[in-house]
Amino acid sequence: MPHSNSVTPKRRVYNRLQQAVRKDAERLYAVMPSRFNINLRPARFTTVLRMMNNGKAVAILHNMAIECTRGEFLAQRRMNAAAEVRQAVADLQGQRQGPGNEESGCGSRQGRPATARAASERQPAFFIDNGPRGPGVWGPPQPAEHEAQDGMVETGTEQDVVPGSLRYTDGAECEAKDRDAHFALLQDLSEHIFADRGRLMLPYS
Amino acid sequence: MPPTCIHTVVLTVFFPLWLLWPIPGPLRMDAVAAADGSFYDDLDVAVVLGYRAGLRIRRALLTVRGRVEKRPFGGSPPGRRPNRDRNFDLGAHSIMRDYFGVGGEPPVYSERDFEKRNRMPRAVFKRLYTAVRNEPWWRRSINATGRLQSYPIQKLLAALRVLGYGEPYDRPDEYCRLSPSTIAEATRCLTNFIVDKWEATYLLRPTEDELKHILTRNAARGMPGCIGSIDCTHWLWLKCPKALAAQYHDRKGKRSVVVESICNEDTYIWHFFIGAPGSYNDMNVLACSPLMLDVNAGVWPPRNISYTLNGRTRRLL
Repeated sequence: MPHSNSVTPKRRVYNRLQQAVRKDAERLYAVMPSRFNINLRPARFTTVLRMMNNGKAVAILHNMAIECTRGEFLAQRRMNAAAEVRQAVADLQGQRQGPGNEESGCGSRQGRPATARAASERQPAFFIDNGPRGPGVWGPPQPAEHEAQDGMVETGTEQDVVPGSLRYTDGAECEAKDRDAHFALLQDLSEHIFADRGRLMLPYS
Repeated sequence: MPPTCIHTVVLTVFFPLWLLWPIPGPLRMDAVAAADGSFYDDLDVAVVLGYRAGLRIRRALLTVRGRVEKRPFGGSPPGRRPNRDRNFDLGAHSIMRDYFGVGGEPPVYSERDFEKRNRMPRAVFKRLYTAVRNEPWWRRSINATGRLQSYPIQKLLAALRVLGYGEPYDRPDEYCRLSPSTIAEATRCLTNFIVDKWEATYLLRPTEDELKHILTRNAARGMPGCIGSIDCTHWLWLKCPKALAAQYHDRKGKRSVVVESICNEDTYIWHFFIGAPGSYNDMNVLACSPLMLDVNAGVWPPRNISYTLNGRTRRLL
């Protein structure tokens, strides 16, 4: 979601980047119908089911063609293998010539993995957190505050929330539709983008 | 007594007697016993006898006529034009000559032409062909008269032409040498086959590894925590039934179906939802899409992936 009222430079920078990123969804609806022209014509099928089948088939064919030409998703294993090879080559070169020329090894055809790798070295894009979860399953981790007293039976601690239960789905829905969290995320993204590439993307005023 | 029966009586008087012989005994006895009765009894018996005889005659006539006019097996109904001799071999040969090369010669059209005409690279086409080639409908078969039917490559190419160019079914006939009804059937079979076989592969949500990959790429673009771009569009529906016209009436005044999809920057689609009526706006479509239902139920996305923004760490929703 872009900022609706982009007056400050931070908001304008965010909006510019968001529009740039949003373009790929808009490009899809130009690329896919031009590739398979049946989507461009008014559908002449008599049932919704056939329209759905047709649209899905076209999307699958489009994905297959994209995968073949661009090498996405399924080529990721190959990319990882290539990255390992690159790392091994860099290690070898490091052993030979000393540190400093890691990136001179075999680059990829499109140069994307190198960029991604540089970015991931700068700041990791994600974390995997498989550790034990605190009591607040849906909120931020909080210290355990319930302590069993004499004669009290513990009921309904957050540890008991079973995936699929009503409490679980309610909590998930509340979290997914949290308005404040949305605006906080927007704010943080704007700050992050302005700090990251604000000078590059600041529009002329 | 209805007058039609009298007519039948008069007819029976002149018919040969062999028609009467299988009449059961009691009835004949009754007839004899009634012969010395009143006039009306005589008439009743005669009517019954005559009616039976008439039925018998009619049945015999129907049988004879049916044997002559109706053949035991269906065959073509009268008045239908014969099948056109489309020369399937010619169609298959020209396709092979143009795009694959026949007899060790290079194909007429180059790789670029192949991709341009079929709207997909050769590798994808070969994959489709090898998947489809031995399926029951696509396999080359023999019809009831013992003639060989069309080749799978003709049907596949015709169906892809229809999908790729949005042509009417009549159009690829000239090149692929197939009847329009076959091409319609081929298109239907191809779409059903693709959806059955590859929907679980290609229109699936990203797995955890792929999510990490997407997150890495989008973080490099400057948007950490972004897993794709979502958008909706309308697909016009020309043949919308009148019963559904109100639901599918979109804001432009046409009938349409909404398509919702999420893709990455290579326009690789990993969520595709089609079938919402055109009267929905984007928010309604999002609310009823299976992805949003799963997000609301906490099924997806995985909870163990988090990212850092501006010093704060969040989970993927």
